[in-house]
Amino acid sequence: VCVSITRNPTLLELCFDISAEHGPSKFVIFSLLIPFVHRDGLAGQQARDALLLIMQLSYRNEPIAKYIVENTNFCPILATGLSALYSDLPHRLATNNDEWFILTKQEWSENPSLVQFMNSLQFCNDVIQIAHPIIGHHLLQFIYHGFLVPVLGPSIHQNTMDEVIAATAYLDLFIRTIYEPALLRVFLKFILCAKIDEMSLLDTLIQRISFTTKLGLVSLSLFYTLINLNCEDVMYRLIFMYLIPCRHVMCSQRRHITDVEIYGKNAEKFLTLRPSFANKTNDKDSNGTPQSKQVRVSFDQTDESNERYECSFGAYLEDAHFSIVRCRVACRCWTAPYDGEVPSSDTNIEENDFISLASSISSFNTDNNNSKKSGHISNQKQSINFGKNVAASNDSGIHVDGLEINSQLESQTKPTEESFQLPSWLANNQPIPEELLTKHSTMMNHSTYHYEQTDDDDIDYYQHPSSFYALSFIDFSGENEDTWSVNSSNTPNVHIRDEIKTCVETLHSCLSHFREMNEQPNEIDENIDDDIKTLVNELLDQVNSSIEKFQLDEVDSINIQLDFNLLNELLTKKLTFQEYLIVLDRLIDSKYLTKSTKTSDELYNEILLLVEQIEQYRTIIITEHNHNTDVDNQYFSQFIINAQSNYSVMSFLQQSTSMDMSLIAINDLSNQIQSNIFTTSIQPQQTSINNGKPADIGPFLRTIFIKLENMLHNSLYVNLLLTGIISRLAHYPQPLLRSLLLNHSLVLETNVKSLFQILSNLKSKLEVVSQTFNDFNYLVELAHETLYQKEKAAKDLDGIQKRARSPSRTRSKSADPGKDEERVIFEIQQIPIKERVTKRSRILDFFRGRSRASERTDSNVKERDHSHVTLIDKTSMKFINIRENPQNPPTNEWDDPKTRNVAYCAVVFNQFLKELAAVTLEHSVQQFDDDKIFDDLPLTQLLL
Amino acid sequence: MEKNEYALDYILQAEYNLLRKQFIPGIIVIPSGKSNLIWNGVHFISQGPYEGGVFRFSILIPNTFPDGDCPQVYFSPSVYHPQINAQTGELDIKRYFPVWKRNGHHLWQVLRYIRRIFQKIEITNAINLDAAQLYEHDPGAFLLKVSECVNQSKDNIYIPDSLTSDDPHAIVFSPWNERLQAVQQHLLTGTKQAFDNIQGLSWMKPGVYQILTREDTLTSHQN
Repeated sequence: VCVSITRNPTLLELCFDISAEHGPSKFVIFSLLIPFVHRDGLAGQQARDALLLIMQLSYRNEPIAKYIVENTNFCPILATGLSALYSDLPHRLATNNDEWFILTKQEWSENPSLVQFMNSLQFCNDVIQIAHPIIGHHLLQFIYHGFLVPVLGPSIHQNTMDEVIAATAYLDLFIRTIYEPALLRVFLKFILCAKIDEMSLLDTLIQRISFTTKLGLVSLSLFYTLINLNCEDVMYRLIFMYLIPCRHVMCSQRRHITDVEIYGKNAEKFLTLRPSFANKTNDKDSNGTPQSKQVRVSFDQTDESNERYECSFGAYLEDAHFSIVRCRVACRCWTAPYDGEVPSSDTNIEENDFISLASSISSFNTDNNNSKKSGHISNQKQSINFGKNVAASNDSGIHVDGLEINSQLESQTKPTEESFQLPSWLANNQPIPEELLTKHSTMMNHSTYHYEQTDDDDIDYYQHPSSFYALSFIDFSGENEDTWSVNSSNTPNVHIRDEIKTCVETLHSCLSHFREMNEQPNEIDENIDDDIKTLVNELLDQVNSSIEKFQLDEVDSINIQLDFNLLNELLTKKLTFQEYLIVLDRLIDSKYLTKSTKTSDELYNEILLLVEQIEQYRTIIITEHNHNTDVDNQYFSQFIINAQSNYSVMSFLQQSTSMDMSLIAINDLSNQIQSNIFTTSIQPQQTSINNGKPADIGPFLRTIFIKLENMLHNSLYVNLLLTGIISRLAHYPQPLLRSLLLNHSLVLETNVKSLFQILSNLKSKLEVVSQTFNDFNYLVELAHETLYQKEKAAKDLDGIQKRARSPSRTRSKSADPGKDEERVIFEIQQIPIKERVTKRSRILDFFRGRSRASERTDSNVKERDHSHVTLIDKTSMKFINIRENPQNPPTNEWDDPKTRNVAYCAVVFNQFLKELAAVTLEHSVQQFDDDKIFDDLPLTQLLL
Repeated sequence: MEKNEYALDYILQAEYNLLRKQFIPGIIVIPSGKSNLIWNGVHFISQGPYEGGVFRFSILIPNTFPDGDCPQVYFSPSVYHPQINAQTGELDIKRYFPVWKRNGHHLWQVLRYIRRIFQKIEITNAINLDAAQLYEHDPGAFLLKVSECVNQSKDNIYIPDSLTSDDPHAIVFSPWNERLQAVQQHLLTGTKQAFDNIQGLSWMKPGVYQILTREDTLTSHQN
């Protein structure tokens, strides 16, 4: 068989000519070949080659293509073969340490089953590239429906950590391997759009970033790969979708998005963020002086360091230049510039999304109309049950969101219906146009109308405070009354308007409490406690005596007066979120403690536990913020319910369950992200005034930023990837993204942390932490040294690998220049090593006028650490000598992995800042360039 | 923080790119090969009293740019003009840019100003008082002097500027010959293919902001 196959290609044309004439029945060879497609070894290879030839033929000859599609099982066999081979892959990847985060060519070629799979995948890739479109189309269909969704999808959602890690790594590898756009498109469609167990795959992947385990690492590298594709769809889905509405930027700042900062201020700003570590121990001056001086030199801005720093910075600039050029060129095929104007911030929505939203709103409305007070209790019960169900299965975020909707819109009687509706909201999650806003505001007014008659209008209390809340963080030019008069003008009914007014009054009472809480951090701590006490007492009173309606109104009249004062105060004193959070936390604590005494012990314990969890998660500020808004809003609804209704226990039970749920939502990152998405999608509707929208930058960026804030505790590899992702993002020339990342003067909304803020926080943290060590500079030095050694090892390995690989490469087609399938750890910016070294040494000579180039040339490590190593090369020589000194104290510190991480972090952080600065500078120059300018540059430099 | 060398380079490059975007007619500027801080230029005047003149000038940028002083503009040789110092050839730029504002002012505005002084002659606060007085009281004589200056500039056009003779980026004029025709052709028709190998991906439909909406035909069939 083998021989006949090998002979085939020569006869192929002839065979096909005949078979095409005589009809499909004689088309034997083809069907003979098919069984060998997935065969291992030589036979398989030859079969594949032969088939590729046929495919090539089919491109010219449509009947053959049709025949293949209609009468053979070629496409299904390919796709199912992928599935079969995939299931043969090892379910867990054996790795020796946690450094591993990316499957390199070398690694996967050691694994026979993986090799087999990759061959088949490669074959599919080639077939799609070569064959007639009909075949390609069919094959893609089969791959998507036969492999990706049913096989790869579930495997990414597996339960065991190891398997999930392996699956993610495989997916990463696949995406890096295939280069045929059509096939890539199918994979991206899978990643971006697929839903598994009613849960968007993309959301799952995003939340996994924040995992501290290896899974986080693998997910990060997957996202790095995705971002590196220069694919508009990916970037749109991950980032631009959330940035286009411009809600992350202060209104007045929007026109500055496209602004160009040409004087390098931003770059300077980045550079000033580099931490400097004062040497705490001066007692080891006798032997430590040369070393510590060297280190300090590389961090401080003394003259010498400037000179040194210049040398390395040139290399950064060079890298930044070519990467940005490449990125810009790649982005030329994008459909929109994403500059804050095109796509405009209002017009951006999909039609079907609009319809689904509208329909759901109308259904809410009708339900609101239908539901009676009597039905309310059963609703609550239902929601409690539902909540408990969710608590049992707290891994599915959608249900929690369903509950959130439930608690807001309790009138909706069927939870299943909601969870059915939800995915469309979540998946699309599009910004909502004005039309919808007005529609929704009428809806809100509608529900406000029902407020008087029915109790089930938590929606009001959920939505209104939050809209007010959003307002409070923006310059509010108008009073609340104005706001509401705008809203109420949407409804022609005067009667309704009156009711709204009363409703607004009650809202004021809520608000004033809210303001009180907010106000408290402005005062001294003693006051806070007092205030909380009074507040809690008030609450308790209300619960115990179940205040009647007129009493509430009394409270209102007092509170309204309070309210305006508080508002003014808030205007003058802008609160930071941390302060606000702390107060909220305390409040929740005390509230819970007092409240829980009233309910069962079981609940009490549960709540205590949850309170602890709140404390734990306080660091995750943005998330926490979201959570707290939820909690807060629920608190308001609770407050009102307590005040109004007699079944306070019932409502409390319901509230606390949902409270539990929201806490679980915090716990479970899936829920967290989805609720974030949810709030972003729902909050635009809550305010018909344009400045009342909450700021958001999308789940992906948020997760990345949170992770970055944690940099000190991340491992070296996480940090490398993380900074790699961010600087890669910074390479994108689209003003929306660039302004967010690189423009420090852009004023963002208060709840969006800018990259600068995060970095400066990190800087101070680093500096504080460095104080706790005896000689942090020494540790940093050690980190450098270790990295340098690792680089060297990796480089050697790389060299061997390359040499080994080149002869074994049989397929010329897979040598696509744009797709480098071989990735090594530090490949973040790949620049030709040799060229780089020569350039560098030239630069070094030029600037320093020293003849040490020969010594320095061996430091041709790749970019990330490379420049630094170059600098400290000489230093490290000295330093090695010092290390041999037996009475060296800090080696003990170095043994502690935590310390090591901090030291690594310091190194990476420093590099990262320089990288960002270089990118910023390059942007400042390139943003004026037209594409044609690049043409002056030699082609070879750009393709690397 | 002391500004580093790269920062200045980048600022100047950004300025130059901005300038290129402006397409100021009749003016060619190129940074000197020796220093980024010296830009050499030639102004071809197509209308007004100086019509037909070809004037060389250079812009000296202070190394504190953009925070320091205004850049200076020198004409060499000097031009007979109310705003230009007859001896040094320095253009009075302070009257237009009293203080250099780092975000408001850009170098292309300097070029625009250079262009303007030859189109609309102003004589208030003139540097070259003779020229100003002559322009005011005896326009005919002024125009005569101007045309003298213009003719001189035309005559000297093929003589390389002494100040920039050792500069690799100096602007040098040479008489037209057929060989240059080919160069011109090449420059005008030259195609750019450098970036065909870098290709981003997009399946977005223009105007519809939804991912993966465009069904791509299978693109890469180059066999």
